[in-house]
Amino acid sequence: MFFNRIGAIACCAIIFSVNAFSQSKELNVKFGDVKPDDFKPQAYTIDSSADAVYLYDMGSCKYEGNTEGWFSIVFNVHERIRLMHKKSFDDLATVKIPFVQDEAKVEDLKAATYNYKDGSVVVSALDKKSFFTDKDGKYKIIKFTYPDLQEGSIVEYTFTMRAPIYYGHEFIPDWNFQSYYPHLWSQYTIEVPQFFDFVTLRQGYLSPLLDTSSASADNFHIVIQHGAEASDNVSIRSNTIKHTWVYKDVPALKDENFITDLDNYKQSVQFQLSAHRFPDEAPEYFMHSWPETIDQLMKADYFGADINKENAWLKDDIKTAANGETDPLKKAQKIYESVRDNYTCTDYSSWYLSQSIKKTEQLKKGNVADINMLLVAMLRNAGYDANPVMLSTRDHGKTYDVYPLLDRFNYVIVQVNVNDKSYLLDAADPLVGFGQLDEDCYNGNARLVASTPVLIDLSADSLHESETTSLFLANGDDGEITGSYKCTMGQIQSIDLREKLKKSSQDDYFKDVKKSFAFDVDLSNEGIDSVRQPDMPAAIHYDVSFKPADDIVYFNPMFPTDAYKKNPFESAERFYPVEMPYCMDETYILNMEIPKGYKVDELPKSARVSLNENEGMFEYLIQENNGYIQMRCHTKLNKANFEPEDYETLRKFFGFIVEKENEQIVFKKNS
Amino acid sequence: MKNFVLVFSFLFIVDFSFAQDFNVNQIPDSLKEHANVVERLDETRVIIKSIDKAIIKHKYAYTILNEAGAKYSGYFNDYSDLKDLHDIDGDLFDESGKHLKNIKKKDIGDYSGDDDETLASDARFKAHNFYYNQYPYTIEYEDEQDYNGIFVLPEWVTQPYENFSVESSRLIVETPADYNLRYKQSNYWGNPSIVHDNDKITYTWEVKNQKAKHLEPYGPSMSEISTAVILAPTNFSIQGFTGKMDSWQDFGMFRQTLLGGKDELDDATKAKVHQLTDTAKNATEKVVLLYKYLQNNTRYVNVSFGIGGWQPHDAKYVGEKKYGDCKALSNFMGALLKEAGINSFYAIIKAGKNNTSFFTDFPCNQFNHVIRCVPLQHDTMWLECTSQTLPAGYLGDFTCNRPALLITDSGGKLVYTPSYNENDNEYVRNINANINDEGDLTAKIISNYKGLEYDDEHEMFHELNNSDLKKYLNEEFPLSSYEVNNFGYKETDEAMPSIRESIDLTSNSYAHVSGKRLFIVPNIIDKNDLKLDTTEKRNYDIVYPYSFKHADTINITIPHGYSVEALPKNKTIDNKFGEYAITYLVDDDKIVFTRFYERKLNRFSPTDYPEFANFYNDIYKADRNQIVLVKNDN
Repeated sequence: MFFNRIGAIACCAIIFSVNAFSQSKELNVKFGDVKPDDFKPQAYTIDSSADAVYLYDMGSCKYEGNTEGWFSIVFNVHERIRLMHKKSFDDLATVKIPFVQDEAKVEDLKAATYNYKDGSVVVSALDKKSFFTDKDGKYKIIKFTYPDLQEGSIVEYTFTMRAPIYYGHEFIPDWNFQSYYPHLWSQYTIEVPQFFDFVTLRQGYLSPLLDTSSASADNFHIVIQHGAEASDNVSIRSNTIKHTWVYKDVPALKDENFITDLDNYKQSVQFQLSAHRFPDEAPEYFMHSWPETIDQLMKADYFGADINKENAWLKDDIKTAANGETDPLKKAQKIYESVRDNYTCTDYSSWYLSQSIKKTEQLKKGNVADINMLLVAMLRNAGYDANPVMLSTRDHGKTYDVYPLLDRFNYVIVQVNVNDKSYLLDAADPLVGFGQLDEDCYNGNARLVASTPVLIDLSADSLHESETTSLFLANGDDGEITGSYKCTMGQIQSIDLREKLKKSSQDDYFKDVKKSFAFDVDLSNEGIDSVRQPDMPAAIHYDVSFKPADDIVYFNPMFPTDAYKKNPFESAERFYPVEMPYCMDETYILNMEIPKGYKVDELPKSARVSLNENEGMFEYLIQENNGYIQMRCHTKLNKANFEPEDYETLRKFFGFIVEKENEQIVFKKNS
Repeated sequence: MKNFVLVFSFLFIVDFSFAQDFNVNQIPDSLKEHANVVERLDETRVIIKSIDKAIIKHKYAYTILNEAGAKYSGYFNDYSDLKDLHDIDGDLFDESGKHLKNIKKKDIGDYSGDDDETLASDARFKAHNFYYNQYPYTIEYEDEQDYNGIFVLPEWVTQPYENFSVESSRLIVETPADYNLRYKQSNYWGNPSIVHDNDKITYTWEVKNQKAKHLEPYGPSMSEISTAVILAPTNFSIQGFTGKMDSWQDFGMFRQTLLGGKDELDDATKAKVHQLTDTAKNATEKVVLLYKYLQNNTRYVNVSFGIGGWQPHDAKYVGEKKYGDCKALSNFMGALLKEAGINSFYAIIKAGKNNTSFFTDFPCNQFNHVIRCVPLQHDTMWLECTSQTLPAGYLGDFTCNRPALLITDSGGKLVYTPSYNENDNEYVRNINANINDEGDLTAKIISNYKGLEYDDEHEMFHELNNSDLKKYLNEEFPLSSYEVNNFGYKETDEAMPSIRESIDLTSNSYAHVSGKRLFIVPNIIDKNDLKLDTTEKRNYDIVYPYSFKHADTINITIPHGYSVEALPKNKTIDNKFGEYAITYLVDDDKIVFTRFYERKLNRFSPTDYPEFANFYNDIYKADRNQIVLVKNDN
């Protein structure tokens, strides 16, 4: 009985440390405490070829009362790095600490270089004059570089940043336990008054050495100013919750191809304010459910307030855009095109408005949210059911489906329903058509900002990109072979091509096509369809002629612009998942008359392989038939995202494709 | 009445020069040809008040014809402690020339000009953009700069970019009557108009209707083919320093004054110099030892404010902090050498790969870098003091083969840095490879790079970490699918350096196997990518910026039981564009392939273009030839 009671109390006390993994304790390393032994390792077992190793990096975040009526954040950073090789100097020897001017203060900045010389540690500390301050836009940047560096030096800095926070905007800085260099010991401690409730978001694949919580209590003194003369002093005693994470021997991040954003895999921790819970008061929630958040967003000036107004002033614009069109779908298209073609997007990364939509209409420019929200307003005004959709682009990391964390988003598009069909529109991208999005938008789930805020699946697995090429070759005069080529591209390839043609001419494009042939060819009637019609797929076409001369002719039935020359998966090893931009589907069809005076001596073999049963396939069919060669080559992937364990298979699959697509037909002159 | 007429004509002039019609239909068709941007007007007015004060008023208008021209639609100008920037104004006009918008002050961005290698400086810039997208449209900007001290005057380059035509551009320089302005014209025909007024002289250069130019493969750069005028003072003053620059000697004298008293070393460093060099055999050895010391103990970091752009931090600063910019490190190196009793010179230079155009007959600040020159008994050693890895005495393509100004006690002395010939810049590659029945290739590649051919490999080896280096090598070669299994580098540390790279790789299905045939391209790595259209019209000279020599020998063991069906012909081309020879030999189970390619620094006239194109097209083909083998029947 007695034990039970004790047990119950103990249980309360350690309720925050149920995650404790081991007996390990957090470290508290003192600035300047560098010993000769620290220079002993010639290499570190975690990564013997590392050019630098973080020996110790520690962050802590505390709250304190301030004289502006609320709390300030006290964020302390301490990093100690061993620079093993000169190659790391460019990355690590110069430190930049950016912060928002006027709000934050950097205090107790200390930095030093340590070298080992004749059995003792030589310290070169930075003096005040060696810290520089620069201004860049709204940021102030403190910069310094370590003196007296040699390979093997240890460098160290620490500072404390104090920044006032405003009611309802309480925050805790993120912490990365991982970087492009290995970390031996990375530690983060937060200590926050209990009445601020935060959601903790962790990402990465590693297990912590330490993950503990404990509770204690602290006094907070807050001074509330009433004008110039009067002020109130308030003292609050509150329980605080302290949480510490430690990751030991964290390997370096490695960049690889086909990754949307390496930050998605970085071991890190982030926080989001969810509620204020003051004693004897009802909790005040700051992180709401998705429906509540959407509701707030729709009312907010920086998001939906404008589009819920009548906006009668848009009538003229809509009338001009619609140009008399009455068919609902065609009219929607015209309105969409009028925004897409007349507005300039100056910032492709924002989930909120930078100005009122009226201002956007006047200036004819704005960020992606400004432009697409204007489109929502116009469509609504014209009587459509249109809503904004928020997402995070591929280079901006993933969003959380569960928590409405708005900073995770950076892009707004539009959903419009016409005749019971939904279309997703992006008027900020001048190169896409009605109902199309560029590959950047395909980064998992997007969120519809409407009374029912459903998820919209925009994973790359759902984006199918098909390309069809046909080539017909026949015998012309004088032993010449003539023919016609046409390649109709998929949506994304079309966008890429349009992007390219913004900077270079079609003439240059076909010059490159001509150069890509290993033998001499003449091209004529070259053209590209639908360069200026984003709704249509772009199609490249030309007539071609060439003349075989030798007794034996080796001829690749796939033209050089269509055959894979190189395996896209170059690296032999893979750590992270493969994230391709879309599911490809490429078909190549050839119908070729056998050159006059020649016969087929050897044809490549037909082949068909599949990738992991049903995840993809490659088919290469070729036959000789009545003086003709017919060939069909089809590459299809049913998904775009693959796990690291599938990498080897995927690489072999593409290796096989490259091999087949570079095989040659052997024609021999009739004797 | 007289006064009234004067006022009237003044108004008339204002009206004429500031209310230009920007309607796009006013642009002659010839200026739209190959153009992305048409410069409608450009007026740079340099008002020199005295030897240390000048005002630069710049006004320009571009019609942006298409999206490719959009990158030039923004405003950008820099400022620092030595020059203020103010009165920025800008306007936007549509296709018909209708005024759409005026610049708003709060829309002008203000940014730090520090680049990645600069820790701190006074360099800043302001920028603006209307972000308009209805082509064509016209932007017009103007601004004003006040020079607090004159060492450099503006340059007038009428066509800084390709696909950029000029309707009208003007440079006007006003100086006091007793000011001795110097100028150098480039691709400008005729002389400036010079008007002497009572107390001032006005110089005017003007061009009209310059058609858009485009750069050509192996052609000269825009800076060589554009019309340009460079200005320079005779007497000048900046931040309390005065000087003269109408001769290289005087120019150097000024730079010498900036160095005065900067080469004092602290005692510890002095002691270190003696410890390192006192027992050395000769001066050359001392230089090498001290250069190594510099490389192992310092690195490049730029901290400069005001005159600090030209005046180095002193040697004690570098001795303490162990870093500095090119000026500080070269000055420090000089101090080390001096302590060891070796005389040397601070050498200022215009650095940059192939950046060798230089007006030797026009002394002015054409420089952007400093190195060290050490004259020795038999030879002169050049030291790149910002490099931690180059061998002593080697310069590389950043500074070789161009003028350098030595700063001596008696002033400047123009000399040339070493140039490297085709025997210096060479690589020799040996590959021993094996191809099996499946067409899989395993190859051991040993390449020895020397001279300028060494530069890139050297840099990669020293800059990239191991995993990036491996990644680089796995993407570097023109093989469809391969893996580098092993690699290593070894450098020789001589004045003409070399680096030996050895690579083991495998490439599955390198050779294509069909039923009975094996297709092998024996030239595994060295494939020249240049393919040219012989019918293209050539406007400018063909330029070979440096000389080199490449030699490959490849031995490939092939599976037993094949005989040759098709063997490419050996090919030798030897003409003024270079020497190229390629040979194939199949001997039993062995293919022996050789390739030789040599080119010399040279320049050819545009009429040579078809022959030049043929030379490269022949190489392109020969480099990709395949050997076809057929399996023997039995």
